[in-house]
Amino acid sequence: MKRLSVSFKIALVVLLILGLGAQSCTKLEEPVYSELTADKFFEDPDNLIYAFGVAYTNLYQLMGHKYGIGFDAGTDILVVPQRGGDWFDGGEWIRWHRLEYRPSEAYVNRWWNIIYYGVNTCNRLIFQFESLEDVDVTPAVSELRALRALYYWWLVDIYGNVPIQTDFNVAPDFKPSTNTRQEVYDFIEQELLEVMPHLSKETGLAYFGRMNYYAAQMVLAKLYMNAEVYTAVPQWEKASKACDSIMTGNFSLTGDFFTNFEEDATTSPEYILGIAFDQVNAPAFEVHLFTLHYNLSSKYGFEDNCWNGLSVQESIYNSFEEQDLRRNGLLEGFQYLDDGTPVVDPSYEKFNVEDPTYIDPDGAPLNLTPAINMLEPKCLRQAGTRVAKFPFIEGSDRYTSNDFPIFRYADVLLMKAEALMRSGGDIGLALSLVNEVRARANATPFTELTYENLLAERGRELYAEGHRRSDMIRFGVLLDTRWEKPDVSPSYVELWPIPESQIQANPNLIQNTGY
Amino acid sequence: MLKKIRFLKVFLLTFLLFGIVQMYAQQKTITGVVTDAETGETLIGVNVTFGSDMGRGIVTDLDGKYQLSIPDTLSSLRFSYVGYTTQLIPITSDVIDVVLQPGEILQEVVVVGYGTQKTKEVTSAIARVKPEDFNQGNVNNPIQLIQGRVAGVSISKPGGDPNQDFTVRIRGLSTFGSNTQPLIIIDGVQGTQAMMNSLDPDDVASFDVLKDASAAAIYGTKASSGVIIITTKRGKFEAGDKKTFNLEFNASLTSESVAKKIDVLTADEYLQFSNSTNYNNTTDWMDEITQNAFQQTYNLAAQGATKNSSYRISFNYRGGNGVVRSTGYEQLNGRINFSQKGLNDMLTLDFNFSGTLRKEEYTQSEALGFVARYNPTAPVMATTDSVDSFSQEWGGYFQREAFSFYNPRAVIDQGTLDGQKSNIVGSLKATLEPIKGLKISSFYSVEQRDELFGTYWSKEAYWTPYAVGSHKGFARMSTEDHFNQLFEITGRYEKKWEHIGFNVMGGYSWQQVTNDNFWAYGEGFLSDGFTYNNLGSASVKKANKETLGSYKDQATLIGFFARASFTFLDGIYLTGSFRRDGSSMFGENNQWGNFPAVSAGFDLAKFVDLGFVNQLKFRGGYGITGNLPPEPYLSQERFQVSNEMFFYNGEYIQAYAPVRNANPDLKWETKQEMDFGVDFYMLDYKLSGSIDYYQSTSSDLLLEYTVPVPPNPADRMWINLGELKNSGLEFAVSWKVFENKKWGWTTNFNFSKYFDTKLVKITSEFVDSDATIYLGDLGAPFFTGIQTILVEEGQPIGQIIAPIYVGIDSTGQLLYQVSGDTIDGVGTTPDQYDDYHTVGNGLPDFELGWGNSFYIGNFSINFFLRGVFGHSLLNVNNARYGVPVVMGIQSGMGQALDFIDATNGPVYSNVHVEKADFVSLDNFSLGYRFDFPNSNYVSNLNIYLSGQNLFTITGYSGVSPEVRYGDTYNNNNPLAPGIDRENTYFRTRSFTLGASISF
Repeated sequence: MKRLSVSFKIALVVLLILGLGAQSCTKLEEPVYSELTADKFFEDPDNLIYAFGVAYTNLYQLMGHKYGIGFDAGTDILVVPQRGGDWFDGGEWIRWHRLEYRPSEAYVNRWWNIIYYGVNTCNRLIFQFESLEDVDVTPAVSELRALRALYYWWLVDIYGNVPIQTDFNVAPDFKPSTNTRQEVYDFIEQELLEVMPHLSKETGLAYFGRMNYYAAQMVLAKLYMNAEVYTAVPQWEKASKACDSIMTGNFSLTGDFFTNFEEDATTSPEYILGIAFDQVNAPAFEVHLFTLHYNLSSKYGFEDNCWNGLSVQESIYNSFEEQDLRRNGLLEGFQYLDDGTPVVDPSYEKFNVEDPTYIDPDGAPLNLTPAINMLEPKCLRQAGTRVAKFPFIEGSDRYTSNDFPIFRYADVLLMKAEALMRSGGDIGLALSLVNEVRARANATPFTELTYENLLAERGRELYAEGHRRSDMIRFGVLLDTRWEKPDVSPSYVELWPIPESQIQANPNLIQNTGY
Repeated sequence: MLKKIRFLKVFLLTFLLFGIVQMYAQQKTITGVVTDAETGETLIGVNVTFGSDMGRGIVTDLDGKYQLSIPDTLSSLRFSYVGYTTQLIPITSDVIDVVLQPGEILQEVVVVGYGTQKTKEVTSAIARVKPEDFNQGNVNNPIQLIQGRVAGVSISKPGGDPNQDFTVRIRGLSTFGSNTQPLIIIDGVQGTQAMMNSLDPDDVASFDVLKDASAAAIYGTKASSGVIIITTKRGKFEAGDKKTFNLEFNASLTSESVAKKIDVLTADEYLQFSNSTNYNNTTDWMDEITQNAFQQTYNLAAQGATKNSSYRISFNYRGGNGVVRSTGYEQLNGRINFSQKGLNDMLTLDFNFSGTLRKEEYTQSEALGFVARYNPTAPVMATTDSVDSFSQEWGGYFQREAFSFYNPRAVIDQGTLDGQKSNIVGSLKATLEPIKGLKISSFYSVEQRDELFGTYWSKEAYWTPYAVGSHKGFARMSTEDHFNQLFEITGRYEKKWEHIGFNVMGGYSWQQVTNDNFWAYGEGFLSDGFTYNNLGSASVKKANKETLGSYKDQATLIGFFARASFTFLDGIYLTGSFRRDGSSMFGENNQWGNFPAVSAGFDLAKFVDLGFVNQLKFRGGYGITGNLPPEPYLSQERFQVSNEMFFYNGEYIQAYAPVRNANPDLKWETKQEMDFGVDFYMLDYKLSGSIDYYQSTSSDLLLEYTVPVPPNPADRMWINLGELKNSGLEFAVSWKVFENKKWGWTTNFNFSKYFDTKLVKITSEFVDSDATIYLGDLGAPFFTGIQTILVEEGQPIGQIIAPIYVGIDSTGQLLYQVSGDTIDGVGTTPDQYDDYHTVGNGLPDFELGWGNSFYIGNFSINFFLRGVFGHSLLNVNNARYGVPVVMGIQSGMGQALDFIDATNGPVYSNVHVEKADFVSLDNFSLGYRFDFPNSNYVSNLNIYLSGQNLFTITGYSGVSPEVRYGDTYNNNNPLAPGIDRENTYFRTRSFTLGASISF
């Protein structure tokens, strides 16, 4: 092999270096293959409706989850007792029942976060829509403002003194300050009155689950009904007028009470605002697993194990008349499979010489008794009737497809009746409205209307729909002693604490008095 | 012609020994002088030997001269001297003057980034591990070869799952989670541990671990977690006209069994509890789901060389099963390393190619948790005594409808989980040396890794991950493909004069990594026979995003780097390096980062006579390295379809929401590290060691933070905010205590001390996160929302928190220290925020490894002890199932006997957090070597018997006391170490019998 000359060697070196391909040697941009970035999303005006949805889908977690508003914990209707090692969960359900809230409670923070996510989403969408040109966004923005007012109604009802936030375009270190309950009340009222003329009066499938004129009137009605609680100044007349506005729409009670809670209640004439849960497309509702006893999953063909948690207190079971059809929403007694075989609980409490009272009265066969022996620590596995108001759907898996009414017409009739009664209006009309609701349930009509029986009727009609707590506060009975609540609660527990983690993150927030 | 015949005979694999008739021939006399190659001085006492046992010969005299009578037919003489490289010189004349090169040891090199450096000149903390120090026995992953052998490198795996990766931590934790894995470089190809898994351990020639930043900074933004450089075996060019050929064949058989079982209640113990249910059988569920495992390995390697070319080809097969039923693997791997010189030795081409095919079988790991509470009186299969239609529905396995109660054997048998992986790695390097001392190389490598997974749960399976009690059959298939290209150009120049030498290097690197995933799911099959091979026939396709999915991403990394080293007077060393890296993963405001490093060393022994100390080098270094974000595109705003659809006008439509905010300032994580050390050699280079002290600060650590909404559209954003501080001490020593023809003993010891990793910062006023984060949620059943790990600014990482258990009162209530208003500070419900205190730390304080090898004649004995101290573990099984209340139809842990009087619970407390210090005899082997010096074919045969994990001494009651570096239930989050989750694979003990024969 010849010796190569120096110049040739240098040429080789240069060739190698040129192998770089100078242009691409510092290029760093990479295309995004599997995700949408902001510039692509709002390009297409058809995409707007997809952005809208998130403000509503947020409601699924708020209502359907076991910690959800719908489950009336901490009242005289539903309860989650501690059954031995199960459902103790750090004592949170026990504290909830006895109204011994701590600012560090997980569910206190959870509701705050979900509701404020809803508020923020509405604010973001309003901000984004208002910056679009050539599109009339008034109907969309009005709907969003009404939805935001609904979120604020929950905030004023549960937490009371919360920050009012409407602006999305704030500085990075902005931390909102607490507004008083009165200020929040005024804000909600003003918002709803302002957007009312722009809201659609259409009902039916296109507006199912969305804020229309009637849903907004319903929020207004709720606001006015509880005005004495929120602001110390009652507004029964205004509440009555709001109910009248709703009654101008073509709502009516369904013939069968349970139609409103079935798999598809989207055509129910009684719904004012609802959620169409679906185990595949809108999965969040878990009442079936939450309430049923462990050994009932195969009876209903569920694809997941039941948790044996949510139970119905004895007092409300007893308040139903025998013939009241609504009592069928409380699952009780011995349970059988379709072929007649009794359902059995093999882990029932057997005789234990150390604690002879802790024994299941009828042994292995599953018998859901209305009587609950105790709240804690050793509630019997089979004690308590269960929430069957939402008819169980065969084949449900982790989530179920029952629909959930946030607001329905029966409530409007009861509210109108209550408003009349409290403001000294037509008692006869009030009585007939309540009896309309009772007649649908095949219960004997009332002969007279008192605060006691009206509150009880609201419980019988609206249990497991998330209204009980604010009803009990309005009637002034939340703080009383009752089953497994030996002490009268201090008055400050009528408001939930501001969550501890929120106060730590934002020093401008003020904790509610008493916590 | 001769060569061909030799080849043929070798391939017949004969074990016949042939004696060579030695004919006593004529003698002749050889004389000469032996001198030192570097100083030119004559060497006294050099051994000049010949003969089959090298026992005949003479030593050089005071003038370095020798005179020797040898047989006429002798072809070569051997010259050896302590501290110098032994040489075999062919006899070509009567006068042979030999020049010996100082020290194998002194000439040793280590691989540093993009080159090699003489060990004596190294000024950073680099550890080299050679095959004589590798761990022996049942080694199936290359990283296991150095487990416990390198100070500062912690390698752990809690159990013996053959398909699970080891966790590798170099000098502690330096990131929150982006990339705790070190950079792995195999023959220049840069990749991750996944690439290393396809390398066969028998192909590894050496490991070089770049421990500190001054060594690793040359790799810039990939180097914060350390760099492990692996060199595979290759042929060596032969001097002169010799041609060599070697063939080696190894085989081994391993038997593996469970070392420690979960401490569950036996049938008799369980029946003591009043709420137990007796099904009248006795079943040891641990035995039902485990088995004795067998593995085998075979390798064949051929290596050859001439003056201009060298090659090594190897084929490896390893396969076997694991100690838990339904786990197993089978791997076939082939590798060729080929080098060719040309253009008058000016050009060298190195070509490497390896292909690996691996089949894996996995077990449903939930079963390992169900074992802790399944009724020990229940039979595995429903017998006629307990039979009922319910069990018969579910494949005949005993089943009952009860809370969290699933037959573990059924769960394992009724789930099929398979994987198939292929990995091809190829590289070509061309090096040109146009002038002596100047080398220019061009390197291109490609790694293609394809993984295919198929899972199927039977129609008769009562428990499946998707649903309980459904007769549908569930199938899922997914692929993960990874393509990694690297192109690098480097130029090197070195020059040495009498007292000064220097070495400069510069280069450019371009890397692109592409990931492609695809998955499909179906449920409702006509027959179990399809398993996952007929997804199209599924009757129910979940109409949300679980049915089908695909994903692709790509990232580019470009770097410019340079390094210069100087040596003065053979005792003063200085090195500096610089790298500038840019990545598409960084935000547009911060695309390029700089990573400099500098280090210096001074060998006292070169200037001062220190007696028996041959080298005492003091060194110090400082460097800055970086870490990449965990995935691409994190700096961009992202929208995502919500899981919940919006009901609009009678239909469900997709709802989109922003889930991540843009962060154009996103950049790499930075680690600044300072290291001081001493490298020493003593006793004629028989004892070597080093001591290091390091301190590092990792800042700009990436974490996904919750940010206020408004003004941000989404509530999550990746921000470089965190800061960690780390420091430690390392000590390693290796001592060839004794070495002669008859017997020898070498011992190595290493010790690593980890001072607390302190979390300096994790918040700022712009994010909503707290200075205190709670992690380690124990989860359902019973403990949803119970957090067990505390991460707090200003405090060490790894704190395990728990309430303090006090005792049981007269009514059987469990009592804890409580700070609310109670009498004497004791209550039954401790509060997560007020009553939980730090009771242990999941990270270790120090580790040590001690290995010894002895040889006596042809016998060799080797054993290695490893210990890890100072860490604690939270035994989740004990926490959940350690009180009588949770029993019923379910059973519980042996610990329930200690709490037999308790009437409430379960409550998590400090009782469940135990110290997990341990020492284990990692391996012990016995070997015997047969030599065949007179044979033309077989050169030697080695037989060995080795045991692994023969014993472990520990106070921990759980299955394995190894450190858990991350929370396996939470993406291996490194901020939550120390939780021994229920699905831990069992620790094993194994015995291996092997033989290797070389030709």
